[in-house]
Amino acid sequence: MPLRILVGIQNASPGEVTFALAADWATRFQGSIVGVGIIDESVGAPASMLTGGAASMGNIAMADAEALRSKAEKSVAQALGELETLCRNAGVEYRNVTKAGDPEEVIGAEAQACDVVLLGQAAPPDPEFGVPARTILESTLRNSPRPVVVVPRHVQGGQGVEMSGIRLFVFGGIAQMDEEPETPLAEFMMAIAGPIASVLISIVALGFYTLGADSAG
Amino acid sequence: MTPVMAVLLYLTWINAVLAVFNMIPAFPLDGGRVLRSILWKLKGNLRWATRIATYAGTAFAVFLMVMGILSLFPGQFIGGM
Repeated sequence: MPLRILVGIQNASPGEVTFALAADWATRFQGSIVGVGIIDESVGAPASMLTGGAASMGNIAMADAEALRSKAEKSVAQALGELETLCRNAGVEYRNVTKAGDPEEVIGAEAQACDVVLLGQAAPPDPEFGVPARTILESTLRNSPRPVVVVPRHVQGGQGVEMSGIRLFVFGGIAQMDEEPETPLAEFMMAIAGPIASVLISIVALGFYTLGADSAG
Repeated sequence: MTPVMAVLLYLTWINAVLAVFNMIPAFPLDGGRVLRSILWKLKGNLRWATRIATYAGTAFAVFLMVMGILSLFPGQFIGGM
C-alpha cells in the first residue's frame, strides 16, 4: 500500500525543500500529490493550503475584505498551478481540490486520510498578510491526528553551505555565500579547497610540461 | 618553446604562486579562512577567531602597502612589488 503523505509548505516560495522531500517520498512509495487550496473563512482570511491525499503544499495568504477574497482565490490558484508544474517536472501524479474553511480544520481533516504529515518550517510572516504563518505549523503540531515531520527551510547535505552565486575571474573567483559555514571543519574544507585545486593544476601542468620537454628533447 | 609548452609552464607557475599567495594567513584570503577555522576549532569562539584572522589580514595589507611605497625608490629595496 502506498504511503500517503500530507505536506504543508507555508508561504510557498521557501517550500522547495519540503516539496523535494514530498516528491521523493511520493516517487519511492508510489504516492500521488493532491493540491488542496484553502480559502480561510475563519478570520476572513483566504489562505491556500495545498494539501494532499499523498502530499500537499500550502501557501498562507490573508485578507479581510471581500475584495481581497478574489485576490486570495487567485493566489490559491496560482500556488496550485505552481504545484502542478512542480509535480509534472518531478513525474509525480497530481490532482487538486479547493476548499473553503478554517485552515486548521481542513488540514486536520486532510491529515486523517494520510499516514504522515510533512510540514515546511515556517517562513517569517509575510507583512502583506496579517496572519503569522507559523500558527498553522504550531496548531498542526499540537493537534495533528498523524505523525508530523518538520522540514527545515534549508536542508544541508553534510557540510553544505547555501550559495547564491560565484564570480569567476581569470584565476580563481569569489563565492557568494548566503550563510557562513556552521562548523570549523566546514570552514576549513571550503577554504583549503581553492589552494589544493591550484596546487593540483600546477602539478598537472608541470607533468605535461615535463612529458613534452622529454619527448621534444 | 612551442606555444603549448609556454602555456603549460605559465599554468604551473601561476597556479603555484596563486596557491602560495592564497595560503598567506591573512583573512579574507583562503589562508586566513584556514587560520580562522583552526582558531575557531581550538577555542570554540568564532568571533574571537574572526578578530584574530582579520588582524592578520590588516597586518598583511599594511605590509603590502609599505612594500609598495618602498618600491617607489628604485634600487633601495625589493623592486617590482
